[in-house]
Amino acid sequence: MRRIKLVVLVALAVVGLAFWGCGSPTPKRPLELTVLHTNDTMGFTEPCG
Amino acid sequence: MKEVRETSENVLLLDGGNTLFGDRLAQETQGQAIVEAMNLLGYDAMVLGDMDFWLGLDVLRQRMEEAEFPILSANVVIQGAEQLFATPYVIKEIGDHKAAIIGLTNQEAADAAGGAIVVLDPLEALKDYVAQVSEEADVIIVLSHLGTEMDLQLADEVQGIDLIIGGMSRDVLDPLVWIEASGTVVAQAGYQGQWIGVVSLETDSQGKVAGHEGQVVVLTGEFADDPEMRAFLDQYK
Repeated sequence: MRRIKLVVLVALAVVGLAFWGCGSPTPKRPLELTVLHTNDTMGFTEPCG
Repeated sequence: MKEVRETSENVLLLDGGNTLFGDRLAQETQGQAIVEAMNLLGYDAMVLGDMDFWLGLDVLRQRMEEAEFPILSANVVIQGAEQLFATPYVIKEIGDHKAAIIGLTNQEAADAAGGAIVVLDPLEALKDYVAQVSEEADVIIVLSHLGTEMDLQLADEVQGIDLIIGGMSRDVLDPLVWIEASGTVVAQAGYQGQWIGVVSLETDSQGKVAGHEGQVVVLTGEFADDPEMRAFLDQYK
């Protein structure tokens, strides 16, 4: 009986940990992102004029 | 670019299209020298604009294979095939974040390609792909060759976009545009390589824009030629 209680307790602990893991997304660090951008360069490689 | 890459931890270099065709070198090499230069510069992604289709589909496909970065379009299909001509989006890992970059092409590309492609509604295409990439990416960037007016409409009508890098209308958006209702930054940097845009984004732990700033830098003669790029271009003289 004692062994059964121990098995049930362990099983409940495992299930509880699983749900806790699913419900708690790992927080990410804030992101600092630099985006360099160009457009419509039309093949220009030298200054105009 | 080198200066920003040395001082900033996470940097993306993106192009808003109409890049591979136009000036002398681009025409003489059918865009090959331009792709080589962009590989040298380390571009992360580019979107197809209508002028890029002036190369013809076969040559354009060749340029896309030579590019060491994805050349995107989520709304161009091959006439009669219902198959996308290009990759619609790419996912970039940045630290422990993932950024999706979705490309949108303007309607004029259909004529430029001589009817060999069909340009689908960019708004509907964007809604579909934002829904798709949202499951994987927490930062969403749209590379748009649709013009500023359409970019503002996209920001207004599609939730979840963090940044729109624009083209086609050749606007110098300085300061950049911030759409508070949707939390979207809209940027564009002129034309003919005379400007480069710099957008700095801060996102929170959920990937939402928590801070932004930007500027468009005029590439005057104050900037010395990069020796490596100078040597590359000199071989075409």
